[in-house]
Amino acid sequence: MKNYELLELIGDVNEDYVRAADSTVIRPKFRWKTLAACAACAALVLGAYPVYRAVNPPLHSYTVLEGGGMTTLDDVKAPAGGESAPNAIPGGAYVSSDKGKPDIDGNEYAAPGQDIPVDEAAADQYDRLLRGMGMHGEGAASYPDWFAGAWIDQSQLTVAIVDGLRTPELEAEITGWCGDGVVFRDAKYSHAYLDGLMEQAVALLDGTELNCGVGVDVTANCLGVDLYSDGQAIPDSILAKLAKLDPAGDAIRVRALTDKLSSLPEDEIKGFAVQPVPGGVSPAEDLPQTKESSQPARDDLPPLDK
Amino acid sequence: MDDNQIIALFLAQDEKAIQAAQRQYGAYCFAIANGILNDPGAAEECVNDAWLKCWQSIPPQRPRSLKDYAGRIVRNLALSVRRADAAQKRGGGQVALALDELSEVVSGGDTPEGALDRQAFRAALDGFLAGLPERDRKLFLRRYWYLDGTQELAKRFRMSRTNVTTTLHRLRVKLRAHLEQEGFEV
Repeated sequence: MKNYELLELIGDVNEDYVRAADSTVIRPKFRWKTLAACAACAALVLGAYPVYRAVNPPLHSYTVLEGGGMTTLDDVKAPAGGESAPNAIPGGAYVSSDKGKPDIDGNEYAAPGQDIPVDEAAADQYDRLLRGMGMHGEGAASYPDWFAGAWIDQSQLTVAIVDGLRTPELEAEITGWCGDGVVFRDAKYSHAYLDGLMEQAVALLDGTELNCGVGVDVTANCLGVDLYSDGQAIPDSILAKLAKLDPAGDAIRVRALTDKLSSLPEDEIKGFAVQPVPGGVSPAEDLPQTKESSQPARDDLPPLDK
Repeated sequence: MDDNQIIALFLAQDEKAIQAAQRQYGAYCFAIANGILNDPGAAEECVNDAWLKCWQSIPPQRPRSLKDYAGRIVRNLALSVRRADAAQKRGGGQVALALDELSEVVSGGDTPEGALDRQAFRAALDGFLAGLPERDRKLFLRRYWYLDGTQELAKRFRMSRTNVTTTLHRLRVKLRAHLEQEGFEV
């Protein structure tokens, strides 16, 4: 048989079949079983995720400072944000020790500002800034929402303003308080917010066996939390709570100092003391014999090396 | 005007029958012819010839469905034109492809005159189609009766072209086996 004969003969098939084939578009059968299986899988995943999250909460990222132990002698601590640094003042700026008081090595300061060179003019600007904000003196009102911090950098007062709130009018007002030469910078978090965060962090760290240093770091625009592990691993529960406080992961800077907690005689700690700098920052690199390594935020962070 | 009324006009040899048929089924017949010939002018001619055939054959024929009857006539006419074109090395298109595909089913040898019982063969084809799932049956007929291209079939049946091709191949193999089982030397 020839192929064209077959093609012609196919033309003689039952008319009902031919008519049916001319009907509308064939739609595939709706696959209920497939749909049900997909829905079940989706429900399982969606349902399992909260359970998984409850069992394995996200952990806050942190930086390990190997060898960065903490001494326990009075006033010689390495605070994360400088809040406990001597002569730190509201706003995080640091004003030098008074004349005649002993410095960290036991020598007397000959004049104010001798320990850290602070530009008097900038310090005066800072003072006027606080007055302008109505913040001068202990127990003053809370910081305005726009204020993210202020510090003196290379003899210039730098004022950080929260993103979106920086306006020419506000800058003019600040300049009106402080005079010309103020440097403005943008920041994400307000000082008031970081203060609130600090209170929460202190509350959650309170009662743990960890020694901690907590303070607002205005230059980094975050809350610094130093955890002294005393040779132990930082508990995941602490990191999980910090992660909950700081979902974005950039409002809290966590540092884990893994070395043993030590109580050193006074003569041995000379040179270990962290020199506070304007803004209350205690840079990690200033700590002797420290080595940094970063730990990203993870859901299944392994324990720290002992 | 419905199918029975148009058939009645043909039976009465009323010339309005052709106009009515053209109005009712002209587009359908044109689609079949143009699908085979891929030439609107030739397809139009085929449709006109088909109405003439209807006029000549009704009566004595009294089709159950004028649409099916005319559709079959126009298909056969278009295939004849196609074959004539092929003899003159013209054309190609879906008919040539379909013929190539059907070469898998038949041997290609000559069938002695009168050796093929067309009625029995048609019954065998109907039996083959009856045994197919509805979708496969429609796919087969869209390809080898309406001569749709694989792309059009893929769109119509919401299948991939590969799936269309493989399904049609499977059906051709099945058809050959069925015809041999029915005793036909294809």
